[in-house]
Amino acid sequence: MATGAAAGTRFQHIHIHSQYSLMWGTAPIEGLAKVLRARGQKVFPLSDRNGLYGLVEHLQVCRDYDLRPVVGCELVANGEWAHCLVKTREGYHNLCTMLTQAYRDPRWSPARALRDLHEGLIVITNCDAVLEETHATAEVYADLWPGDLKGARRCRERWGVPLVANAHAYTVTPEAHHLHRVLRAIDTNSKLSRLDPDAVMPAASYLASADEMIARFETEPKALRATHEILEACTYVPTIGALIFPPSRFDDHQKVLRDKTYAGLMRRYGQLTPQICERADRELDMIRRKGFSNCFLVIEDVVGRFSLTCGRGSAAASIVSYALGITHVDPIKHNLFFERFLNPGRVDPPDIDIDFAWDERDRVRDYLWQRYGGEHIAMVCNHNRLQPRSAMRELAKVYGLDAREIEKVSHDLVKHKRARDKKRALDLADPWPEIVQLARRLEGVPRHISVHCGGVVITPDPITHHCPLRPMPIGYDVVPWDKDGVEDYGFVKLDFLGNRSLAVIRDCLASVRENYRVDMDYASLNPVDDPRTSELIRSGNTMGCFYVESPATRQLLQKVRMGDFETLVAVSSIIRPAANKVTGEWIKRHRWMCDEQGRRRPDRKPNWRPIHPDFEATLDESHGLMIYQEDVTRTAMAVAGFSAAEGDVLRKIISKKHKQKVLADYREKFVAGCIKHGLDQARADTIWQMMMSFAGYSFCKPHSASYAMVSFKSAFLKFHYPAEFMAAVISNQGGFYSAYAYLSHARRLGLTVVPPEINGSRVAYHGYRGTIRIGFMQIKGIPQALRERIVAVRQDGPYVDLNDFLQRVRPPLEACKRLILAGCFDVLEPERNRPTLIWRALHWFACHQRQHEDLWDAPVRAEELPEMEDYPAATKLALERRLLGFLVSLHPLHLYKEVLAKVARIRAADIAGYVGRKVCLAGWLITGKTVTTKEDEAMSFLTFEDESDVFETVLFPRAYAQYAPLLDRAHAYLVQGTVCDEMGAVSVTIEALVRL
Amino acid sequence: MTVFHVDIESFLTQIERLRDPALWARPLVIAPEHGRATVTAASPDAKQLGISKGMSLSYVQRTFPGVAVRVPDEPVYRRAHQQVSRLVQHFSPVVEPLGYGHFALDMSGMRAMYGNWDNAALKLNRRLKEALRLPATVGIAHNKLVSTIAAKEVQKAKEPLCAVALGEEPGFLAPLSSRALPEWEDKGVRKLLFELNLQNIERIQRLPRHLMGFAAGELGLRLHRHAFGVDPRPVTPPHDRNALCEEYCFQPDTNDDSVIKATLLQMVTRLCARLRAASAATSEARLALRFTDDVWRRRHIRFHPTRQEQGLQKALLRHYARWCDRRLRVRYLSLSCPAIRENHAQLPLFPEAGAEQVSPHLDQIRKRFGRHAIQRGGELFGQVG
Repeated sequence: MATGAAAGTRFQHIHIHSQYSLMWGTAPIEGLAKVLRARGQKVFPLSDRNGLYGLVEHLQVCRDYDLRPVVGCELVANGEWAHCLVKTREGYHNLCTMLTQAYRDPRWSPARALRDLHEGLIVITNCDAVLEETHATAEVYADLWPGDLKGARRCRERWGVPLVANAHAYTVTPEAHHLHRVLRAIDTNSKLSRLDPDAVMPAASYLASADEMIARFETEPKALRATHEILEACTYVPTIGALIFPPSRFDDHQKVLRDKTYAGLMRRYGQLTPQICERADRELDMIRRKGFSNCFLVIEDVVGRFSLTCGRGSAAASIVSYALGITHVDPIKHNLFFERFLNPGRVDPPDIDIDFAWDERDRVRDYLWQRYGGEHIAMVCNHNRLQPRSAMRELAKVYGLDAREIEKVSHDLVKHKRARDKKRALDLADPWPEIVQLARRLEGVPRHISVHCGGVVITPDPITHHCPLRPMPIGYDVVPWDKDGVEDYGFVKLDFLGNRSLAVIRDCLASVRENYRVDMDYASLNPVDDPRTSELIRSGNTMGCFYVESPATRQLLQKVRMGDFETLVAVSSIIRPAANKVTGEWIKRHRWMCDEQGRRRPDRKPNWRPIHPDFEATLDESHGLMIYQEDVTRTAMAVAGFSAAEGDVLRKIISKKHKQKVLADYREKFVAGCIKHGLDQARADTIWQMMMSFAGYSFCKPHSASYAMVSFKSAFLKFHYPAEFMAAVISNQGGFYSAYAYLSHARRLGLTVVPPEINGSRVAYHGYRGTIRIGFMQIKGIPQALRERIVAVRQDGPYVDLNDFLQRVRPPLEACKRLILAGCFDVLEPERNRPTLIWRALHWFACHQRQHEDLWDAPVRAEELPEMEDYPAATKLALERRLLGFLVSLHPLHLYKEVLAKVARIRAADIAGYVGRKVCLAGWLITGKTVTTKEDEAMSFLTFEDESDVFETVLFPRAYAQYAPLLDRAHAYLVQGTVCDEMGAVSVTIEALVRL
Repeated sequence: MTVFHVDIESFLTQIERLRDPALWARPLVIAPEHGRATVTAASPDAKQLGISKGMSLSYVQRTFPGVAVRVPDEPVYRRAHQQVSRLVQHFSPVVEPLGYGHFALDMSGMRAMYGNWDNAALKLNRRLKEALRLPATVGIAHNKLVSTIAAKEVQKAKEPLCAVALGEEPGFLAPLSSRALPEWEDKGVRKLLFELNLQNIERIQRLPRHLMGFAAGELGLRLHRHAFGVDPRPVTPPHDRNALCEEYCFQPDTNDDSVIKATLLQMVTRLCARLRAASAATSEARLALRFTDDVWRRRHIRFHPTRQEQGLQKALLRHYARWCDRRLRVRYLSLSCPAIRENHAQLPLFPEAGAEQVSPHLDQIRKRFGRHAIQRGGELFGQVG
C-alpha cells in the first residue's frame, strides 16, 4: 500500500462538496483547503451540487492557500446525474447555461443538456441516460466510487468509457457523516430514523486520505491515475476582481455625463461659480478615470422617471449626483467630501444606493428589466445561513423535541451565557448536550438563498457568461452570490431600495396640492432655513418624521436643543447603539461650542482636554469626537500615518463582520503609527476603542446629510400641513409607532380624527385642513379591491342609503357587515341602528343571490324585518377595537376610569414639574425597545401615553427582570418611578409597574 | 320524561386536586405541554380570576404567575369518569355520559322510589360526595337541554339542584344569555347573534320563528325552538362493547421509528395472545398515539377477523407513516380491539403451515418460561419487554 506523500502523487480528489451544496455538504471551503493543503494536494476542485454558490469564496481561498482551483458542479435532476469539471472558458459558459436552464425548467434533463453543451467540460457519471447521450462525443468517465462500484464497472463495459476513482466527499471525516444525515433530515423535514436512503449519501462519502483511496481502488490503478489526468486538463479559472460596469447606450458617455452634469448644475445653482465648476470638473475627471460614467447615467435615467428619490450612502457627497438629481443635498454648502465616495487609491467599487417610494420599487425593477433585458440584469441574492438559535431549533426538531422544551432550553442557554458565574456548567438532559454540540458545528452553514432587498447588477455581456441565473418566486433572476461575493467578483452593484417616508412625502404633497392648491416640488423643496421647522426639530416633536421619530432620537434632539441642519446630520449619525459612549460628550461639547441656531460661537474655545493636536484638528467639525465613518479614515491618517487608501480599507474592515484576524494586523499597525506620531500606548488604545464603535452599523456624513434632508422635508410638512402629513404617515404604514399612537399624537397636535364613513372616507387616511378621516384600509377584513370599488363607484355620486350602496357596489355579505359594524353607515342611515341595518343587509343578499328571483317570492318581506335595539356603548367600543384595531371615540385609559379614580396620579403633560420626585402615572404602552447592557443584561425603554401626552420611561435590568412578563403592546399600566432630567430630556425610571 | 343532568364542576381540576391536595392552595389550569397550548380546563378559583377554557397558556402564565398548571392525564380522567358513571347508574338504568363529569339520567318512572325529585337529586349528590369526594349539581327538567342549562345555572348560584317544571321553560330561559344555548358553540351562530344584538334569550324569543330561519337557516329554527326550551332528544346510553386494550408509555419519549414499530409489535403479540386465550378474534383495532406535546393521533383500522399477529401487524404498519406523521417524539401508545367471541373467521380448505401454527406454541413457551423467554425479531427494539 502506498503511503504519505508518495500516495498523494497517485491519487487526487476530484469530487469535493462544500457547505454550498446546500444542506448536503458539511465542510466550509476554508476547512477543505486546509485539509487538502496539509495532505499535499496542490489542486482544489470544488463540485457543489446544482450550483456555484461558493465559487467566489473558493477562488479567494485558493489564492490565500496557494492552491489551484478547479471549477466544477454536480448536476442532479429528475433521476439523472453527472459530475462536470470545467476545462475551458467555453466549458464554464456551458456549465452556467445548463444551471440556468435547470433552475428554470423543472423537467430539465442533464443528459439532454450535456448532449449539446458538453464542450469544454469533463463529464463523470454512472447514469446510463447521460452516457447514452455523451459517450461518443464528450470526454466522459465512469464514476468509480464506494457507493456504486458495480455500476461503474458496468458502465465501462457497456459504454466503453474509462473509470475514474472518486470519493464524493460531502464531509471531511467519516465522523461528520452524522452531521450530513442531520442536515438532510432538516432539509427534508424528516427525522433520522425515517430518512429516504436516496436523500442521503453513504457513510464512505468523505474526504478519505490518498492512502485510503488507493487501498479502496488498488485493483483499478488506471482509475486512480485518471484523477491526475483530469485535474491537469482542467486549467480554466474565472477571473475575479475585474470591475464589470453597466453597459453604455451612448457613444461618448463621458461627454453626455458632462453635459447633463452642467445642465443640472445650472438648474440647481442658477449660476456657476469657479468653485462649483472646479469641483464638478474634479469629480468628472475622477469618475472618468474610475470608469463610473455609465453608472451615473444608468441611475440618472432611472431616477428621472420616478417622482421621489433619495440617494444614500457616500454617493451623496458628489456634486455630479446632486446635479443629476440623484441626491438632493448640496455637497459644497454642507461640506461633503467627494473622496469618501471615489478616490484614486480606492480599489473596490463603491455602492450607489438609491431610495424610492416603497410602493414604486416594483415599477423601478420592471423598468430596469424592460430596459436591459433579462440576460443582462439580475438581482443579488442572500445566503441565508443557520444561526446559533435556528441551528439548535432545527436540530431539536430532528430529535423530536417539542417547541416548548426547545424554547425553554434556548432560554436557559441564553440565561447561562449572560450569567456572571459561568463556571457552573449548565445541566442539560439528553439529548441536549449532543444537540448543542452539533449546533455549534452547523452555525454558519448556508441553508437556502433569498433575494437581496435591492441589489441589482447590470452587465454589458449576458450574465450567464459570468454565473448561472436562478429565477426566484418574486419573478426576477438572481446571481448565485451575496453582496460581498458580487463585489468580490467585480460586479458593480446598484442598490434600489424602498423607503416609506418618500411615499409619505409624496402623498402629503399631493394632499397639499389638492387641499390648498399649493404646488411644491420635492426636489427643490429646501426647508433648511425655515425657522418653524427648526423649532419643531429642536423640541423633538418629530413623531412621524423620517429617521428622527424614535423615542431615543426625540430625546436626543431635546437634549441637544438645536434644530439646524448640521446638527440634525450629526444626530442622524450619532444615534446608533455603539455610539452611546460618545453621545453625551458630543452633546456637551456641541452645546458649549454652538448657539441655539447651531452656529459656532466665535468666543468659545474647547473646554475639554485634547487627545492629540492632530486628532483635534482633524475632528474639529465634530468637536474632537468621531461621529461619521470617514472620521475613522481621517483619524488613522492624522495620528497613525495611514495613507488614504489604507485608512479607507480600515474603515471598511471595521464595519464588516468576521474581521478579527485582519483587524488584529491593522491594530498593530495603528498603534505603532500612533507611537511614532508621539502618542503613548494608552491614548492609542483609547482612539482605537473609539474607532471600534463604528463596528456593524454606522453612517458616513454624506449619507447622514442625505437622510437629514428627507427628515427636514418631513418636519416641514408636519409643521405646516399636520393633518395631511399625519394622514400620509399612517396610510403608508410601517412607521416606528402604531396607527393608534400616530392618531393620538395627531389629536394632541389639535387635529380632529373622524371615524370611517361610507361617503367621506377614502381607501387610505385622508387629511383635510385640520381633520383626519380614517380610511377604509383601517377596517379589518375589507379586501383592497372592494375598498377601491367603493371609492370608484362613489365618483358617480354619493350613496343615498344602504340599499343604494349594495345595489351599486355589490360587496360580499361579510364585508358589508363589517362596514356596518364599523359605523360606516351611521351618518347615512341615522334612523336605523347597526343591528337593524344588518337585518336589511341580510334581506338584500337573500333577495339578490337567489337564482330564480322572478319565480318565487322573497323569503321575508322588507316590512317584516324587525327594528332592533342598538348595541350598548361597551359593545360599540369593542367593535372599534376589533374592526379598527384601536379606540377612536375615546382614550383607552377611559375604560379604566373607575380604577384610576382611586389612584393619585399625575398627568404626563406635567411630568417636567416633578423632576427628582417619585410619581405615579397611568399609561397606555405605545412602543418599546429592549436592549442589553454591557453586562449582557436586558433592559427596556418604554414609551407610554396618557390622555395628556406621551412620556418616556426606562426599565433597568432589575426592574426589567421583574416586570418584563407583564409587558404587552397596547395595554394600560400604572407606572411608579422617579422622574429624571438628563440634559433637558425628561423620563421616568420605573420602580413598579402594575398591569391594569 | 324527567331528566337529571349531573354536572361535576371543573371535573378535570377536581380529579387533579384529589390526586395532589397541594393543588387546593392555588388556582389550577389543565393544559397540554406544546408551545401554543390553550387551557383545557380551569378550576373555579381560576375562573374567578378570569381564566377560561381556550385561553392561551402562555398568556395565562404571563398574566397570572401564581396559577398551577397540570398536563392532562387522559387515562386517569377516563377511569374517574367510569367510576362516576358506575355510581350514577345506581339511580337510573338509562344514563348517557355527555363528557367528563357530565351525565344525563332519564328518571322517568323512578319518582315513587325517592318520594320526590329533589330527594333523589340530593341523594345522588350526597353519594357522589361521600363515595368519590366529587361535588356535583343537578338540573331537573323535562328534557336534556333545559336540565343541562339548569345544572349550569345552579352551579353559578352555588346551589345543589334546580328544577324547572313543565311549561316554565320559556320563563326560566328568558333572562339568560344566549351563550347558554348549545348553538352558541357554533361560531357562525355566535357571530350572527352578536351582529343582530340577540345576546340574550328573551330577544330571540321575541322574534318570529321564520325570521330566525331566514337569518340562520335550519340552525336558526333549532335555536328558536331551544330558546323556548323545546328539545325532543331522548337520553341514549352508549353501546357497550367488550374490548381488549394494551397501552404503553415510552421511557423516555422517542421518535425512533424502529423503537415505535417494535413496541407496537410487542403490543400486538400480547393482544393476540389474549385473544387466543379467550378463543376470540377481532376484525378492527383502535390505535391511539400521543406525541410529547399532547397532540393525539387516533386511527380506526378494519380487517378480516383474525387472532394472529401477522394480520394485525400488516394492517397497522401499512399506513404507519400516515398516523405517526410528525417528527416529534411519541410518549404513549395504546391499541384496543373488540373481541368477537364467536369466531367468524372462515376456515381455510387447505390450512397453511406457518405462523398460524407457531403462535400457540409461542404462547405456551411464554406461559411456562415467562414473557421474555421468546420473541420475534421485529420486536427486539421494543420497550415493552
